[in-house]
Amino acid sequence: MNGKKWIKIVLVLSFLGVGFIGGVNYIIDPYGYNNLIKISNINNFKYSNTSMTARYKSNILIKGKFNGIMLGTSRIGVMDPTIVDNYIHANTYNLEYPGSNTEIQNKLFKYAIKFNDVKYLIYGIDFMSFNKNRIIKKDFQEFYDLQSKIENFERISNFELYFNLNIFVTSGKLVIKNILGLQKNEAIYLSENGMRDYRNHIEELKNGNLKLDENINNSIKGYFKPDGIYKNYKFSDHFLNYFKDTLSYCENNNIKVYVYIPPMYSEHFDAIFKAGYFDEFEFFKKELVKITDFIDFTGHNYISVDKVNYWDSSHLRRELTPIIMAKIFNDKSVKVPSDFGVLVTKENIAEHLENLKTQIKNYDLEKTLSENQN
Amino acid sequence: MLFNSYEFIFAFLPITFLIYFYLNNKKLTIASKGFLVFASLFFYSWWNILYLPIILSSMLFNYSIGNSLNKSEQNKRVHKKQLLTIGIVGNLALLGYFKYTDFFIENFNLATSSNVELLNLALPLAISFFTFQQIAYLVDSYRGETKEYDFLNYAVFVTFFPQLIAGPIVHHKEMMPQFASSRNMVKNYKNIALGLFIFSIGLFKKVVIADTFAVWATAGFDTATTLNLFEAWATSLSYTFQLYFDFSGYTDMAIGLALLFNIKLPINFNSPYKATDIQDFWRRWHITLSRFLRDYVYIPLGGNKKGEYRTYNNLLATFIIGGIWHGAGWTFVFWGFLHGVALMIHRAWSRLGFKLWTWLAWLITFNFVNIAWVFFRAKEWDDAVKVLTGMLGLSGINLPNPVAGKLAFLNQFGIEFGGWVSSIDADGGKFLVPWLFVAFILVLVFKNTMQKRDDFKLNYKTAFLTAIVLICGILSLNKVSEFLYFNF
Repeated sequence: MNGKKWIKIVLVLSFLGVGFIGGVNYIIDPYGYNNLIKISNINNFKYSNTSMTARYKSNILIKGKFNGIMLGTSRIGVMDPTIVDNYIHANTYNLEYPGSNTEIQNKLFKYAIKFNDVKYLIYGIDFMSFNKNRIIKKDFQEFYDLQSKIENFERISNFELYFNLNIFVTSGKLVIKNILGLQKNEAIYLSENGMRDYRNHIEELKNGNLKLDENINNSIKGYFKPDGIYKNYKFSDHFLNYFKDTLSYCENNNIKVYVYIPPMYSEHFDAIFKAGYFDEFEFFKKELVKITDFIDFTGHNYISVDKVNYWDSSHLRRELTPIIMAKIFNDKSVKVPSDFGVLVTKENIAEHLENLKTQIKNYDLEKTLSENQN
Repeated sequence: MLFNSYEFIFAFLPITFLIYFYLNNKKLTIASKGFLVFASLFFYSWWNILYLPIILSSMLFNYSIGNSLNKSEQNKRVHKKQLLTIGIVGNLALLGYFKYTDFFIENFNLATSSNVELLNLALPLAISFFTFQQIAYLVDSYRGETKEYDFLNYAVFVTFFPQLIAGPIVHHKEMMPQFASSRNMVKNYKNIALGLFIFSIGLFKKVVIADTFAVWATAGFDTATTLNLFEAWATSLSYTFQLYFDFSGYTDMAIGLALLFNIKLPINFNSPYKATDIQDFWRRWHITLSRFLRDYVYIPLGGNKKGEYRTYNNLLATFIIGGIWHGAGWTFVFWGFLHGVALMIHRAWSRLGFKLWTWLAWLITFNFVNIAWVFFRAKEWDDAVKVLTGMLGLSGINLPNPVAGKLAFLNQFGIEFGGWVSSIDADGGKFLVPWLFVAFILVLVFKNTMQKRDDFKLNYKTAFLTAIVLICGILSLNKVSEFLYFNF
């Protein structure tokens, strides 16, 4: 064979191979990125797009349609932005990044600001976002892969999403699971406002097979196991500085800020004490109040002790959005349980923490952690 | 611009290739060389155009000195020596200023408890490589081993984009005749095919293999607070494989790209992890750097011609210099020191006539290299200590949960179950372990790229294989990362 023919074969094969894989990825669209082609029993059930949050949400944010941003971890992801819209008379986007630290939140928020005329920030801040020992980049690999583009306010191309070997493998797996009927609904972000839609749990609830206790226990395990989200919890000044930076940025740019700590399920709260992290938990709030007043929904209260308000130990159901927002926006027309949410200020922080301490109940964390450990 | 980027593969490379050969085809050879220099400088400036004046002034300085050395008559040896000294000092001053000033200030502050402010200079890309290459050129000129060429030719020699950023470090005398040859100005499809073949392998090594190991190595070195026995070994091995596949992948790509332009770059890697002693390792690892250190440091220091004691000293000094060339830090110095000491021990051992079984010799060599890389990779001493402590089992031993039933009795010896690689891999080693296994096979059993190059034949089999690795490479460009040697 001569060199010219050899080169032609290689180039043609490469072109066809790359084109084929790109085409398959585009059509199968395993993460529901374009949702253009749905083929029954092939790709109608997709994987969750919550594993590619930065890519997915940045592509919506650059359209510049939003004046309000809801920021935080997945605990705020379940909050419905349309409720917030009614209070601020603006178009709100839910900029949840699951499990994120404040550095990620800060960078995504600034990316959002770059393309949108943001006037309001509703910031749900979490204890987990300040853990110094939870900096393993693998947890947020998707974000760090795109970090430089986010920091430079670049448009994130979908090109690399389709011309991608890993996505091709994922496409193949999804097709097989669809053919075999194994792929079910998964939680997804809604394209219009970024809210997390737990359609999997909603379907389970409808069909009577929601395993709520199991979800709660698994969720608690995810936080408290040795390599979990609270791994060797140590409060981080580095992450605190990012939080400060976000707030001072808002102050300098006339962005009105509302800060709150979302309500975790009461057993999760008790487990924090049991795991020995309660001092850090209190320290987190003491540091927070030095910067801003906030509404604290944690502890034992009318909402948090009732597991039917949750999907697991962290995530409230969408239906709770009105009373959370009514408390945040001080809307007296909505009936909010009197023990649900405390406005914490420098003046009442000591009393508030003392009160929370009295609410702690004994929780058998060891038992939860040892169940079906693998 | 990275070799492993869309803009390089789909825009820069095809445009440069087509214009270069179009100009040559029209017999505009000077214009084609000029274009190649322009393209290479554009490639270099893509990162930061502020670096451009540095490389241009370095080239002008060295060209002037080299030219003067070439023009000096034999009987003016003193004058030539002065010129050479000025040239070398000039190069080292430039390198020292950008690369070592802060290191010097830090140590000065530490030694004298003073507080001199750091300069925080950004290291100009490729400065270590183009400085060494040009020092070699000056010494060769001094020795009368270079011919005189005009500045354009010299500029091609220094800036030729396939080897500009991280080598191979080339000699003037092995490159200039190639650039001057009229035969090399005509498209050669055999060379293009071979270049494509080698480039594709290099791309695959970098983006598919090295970048996969990079995740585990980074997690272990930079983010984990402690590492148990398996985590520590997986971390060090991940880096050992990452570095090899990253740097040899880069070199393969450089060699392949140069072949597209009918230029043959020297071999830089020859299956280094197959080495059965440390001298053997250095004959296989970063060969052009070893060659530079031998010819321009070790031999000028006296090599092995001034007695046993001086030989040992020269070996140690050469490798400490090699260590500090890689980076301004005590961990690099210590890495060089370790290799220097290992070479001294090897020399003594060989002279005493001792021999080892091949498998044991390989095991010792590989483990020494693997452990020494820990210092090379660690950003701080503490990181190195963390990994080494883990490798010794002093930070705990964890086994996978599935063996807990059968090996539960090990609990009494402090061995725990579960989380055995959790600090570096969230998947519990599901991919990490097979990847380590595959990497061992690749470096120990398979032929290396240069052996594949020598066996290369134009047939359907190589065409299909090249297309497959090229497709895999292109489809893995989404996780673009810099080459490790860009930092040195």
